[in-house]
Amino acid sequence: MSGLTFGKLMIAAAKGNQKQTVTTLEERREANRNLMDRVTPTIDEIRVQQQCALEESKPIVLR
Amino acid sequence: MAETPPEEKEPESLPKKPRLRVVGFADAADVVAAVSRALREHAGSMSENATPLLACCDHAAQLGARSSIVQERVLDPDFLSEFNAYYSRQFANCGRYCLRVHFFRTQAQTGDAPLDFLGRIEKADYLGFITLRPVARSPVGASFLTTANSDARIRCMDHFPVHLGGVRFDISGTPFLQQDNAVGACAQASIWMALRTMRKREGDRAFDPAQISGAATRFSVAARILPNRAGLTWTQMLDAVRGAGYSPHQVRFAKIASAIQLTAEETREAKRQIAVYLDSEIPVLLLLFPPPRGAGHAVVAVGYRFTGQPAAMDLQNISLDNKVGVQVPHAAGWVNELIVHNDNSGPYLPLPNVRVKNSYALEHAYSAIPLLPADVFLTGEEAMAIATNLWLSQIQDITQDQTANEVADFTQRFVVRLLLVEKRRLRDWAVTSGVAAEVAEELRLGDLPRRVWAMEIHFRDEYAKHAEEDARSVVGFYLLDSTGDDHTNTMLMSFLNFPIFTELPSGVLLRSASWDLIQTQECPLLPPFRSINQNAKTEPHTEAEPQGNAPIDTG
Repeated sequence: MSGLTFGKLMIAAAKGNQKQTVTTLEERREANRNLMDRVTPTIDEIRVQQQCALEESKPIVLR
Repeated sequence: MAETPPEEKEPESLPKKPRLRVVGFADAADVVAAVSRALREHAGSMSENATPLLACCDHAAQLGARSSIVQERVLDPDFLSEFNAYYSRQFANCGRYCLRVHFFRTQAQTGDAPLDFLGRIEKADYLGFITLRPVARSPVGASFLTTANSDARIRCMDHFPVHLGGVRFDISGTPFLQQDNAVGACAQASIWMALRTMRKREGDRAFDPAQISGAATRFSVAARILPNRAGLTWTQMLDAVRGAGYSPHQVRFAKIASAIQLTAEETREAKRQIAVYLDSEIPVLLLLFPPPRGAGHAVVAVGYRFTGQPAAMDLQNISLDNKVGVQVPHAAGWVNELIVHNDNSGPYLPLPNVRVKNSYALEHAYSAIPLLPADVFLTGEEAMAIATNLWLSQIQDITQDQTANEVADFTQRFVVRLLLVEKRRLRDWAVTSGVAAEVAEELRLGDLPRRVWAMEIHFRDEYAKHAEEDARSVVGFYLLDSTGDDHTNTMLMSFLNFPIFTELPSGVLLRSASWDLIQTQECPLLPPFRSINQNAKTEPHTEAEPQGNAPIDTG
């Protein structure tokens, strides 16, 4: 089960004989966890960058 | 003794000029001459710093203006707000009426009877109007001109009905306004242009210039409010945006707001982030701080020039996980340069990526403020991170048995484009796109939030064809919940038409609501959710016109 992703689920479905496949709760959790592992650092970085910029910025006038 | 009745005063009479008069143009240069003449009569003089007015006239001339109707005594609501806030309180006399110059492609002679003229012109020949304030130094008030015929893709625009002498005309364009340098500066003018562009789509919410200044300075004051010569700080701009009902979201490209000089890579990164919002038809306020002084200036991005042949260095690769080692070109690589409304220069002007002579340029951008609807909790940057990761992960899974070079070649066959799409547009797309029946059914019958972030996956070669035509280039997409915040639960649906780009036998639809995977019927390359070749669609964004969103009543 380790390393299961949405991509692998979709490829398996494309190859499969069944027209419709329902994922198990365990599969969903695994795919979600893998996505979270990949995305979280990036999202955190975006939010931290935003925070740092707010702290470092001086309000300068636009006219 | 009988009291003598007071002498009855004559009511103050309006000037006797005819309300509408026809003015013909001999040639393009005559447009400027005629409008300048009208302004001198109206405002008493004309400032030498008339760049925005001249640019508006040039734009009308480029559109093919051959005649105009000059409309006297216009009570323009936006100028009235400025008049009430400021000009009415001055000792010196300043009129409250504006002058409007309506442009037509139809040839006419000066002095033609206006009703005869209105009776014979084709409605398609109407090009919009310039409103002239009775303020010589900053004459261009709320003005609506259609877009010029060019390679510019105006993404942020709307459809405006105009009534003139009992005839209704319709124009599609992006509202333009010059700062008056009293009630508002560039920041207020840019916010006004962005708000008016979004007005219909977002339920008739838009501030007039005085309301923008009020909302901006409600909690934080840096200088005098009236006259507002000092402009606004970016925090005040965010206050105004928030006050108007939008999310105070700011995307930063530099740390310090002074004398910004982005590197080429940073400029491309900025363009990529801005393009996401423009493709969503969301106008983007750009805060520019050009060196050497770093004097701040705000403009509003409304579109871009699209190129079918991006230079190799303009291809934008995104890789969020170095371990994966695959990078995908982003649609912003095909964006040549942005198109902006610059209140001190004119409408629909290119903003070069790097400075040309003394021009403003994207490389001077400190940050961008997109008018993100307040109920969109997932920003474009976050949606991009999630959707790109899904796609990169998919590529990794498809190519797991291939060499690094083969994987690189494979990924370069695609382009990703992210945009915010309304639910009803998705449903419309499902009806007309030719997508597989299973996907169409899910899009038409399934539960969806009002807006979704959609990442389209395009074939790169087909994507370039959008420079010339409405091409079919989409091989799949991911839909994300724009109201989601927990980024692992934002995916609503994905569809990949595998047979078109892999050896897999069937396309697959993943429905997150039921967590099932459905093999889909064969279907061709698909059109994008929003046209890339055309300007933004200009039909009303809501099924019913919201109350109070009256047509522009020009009499």
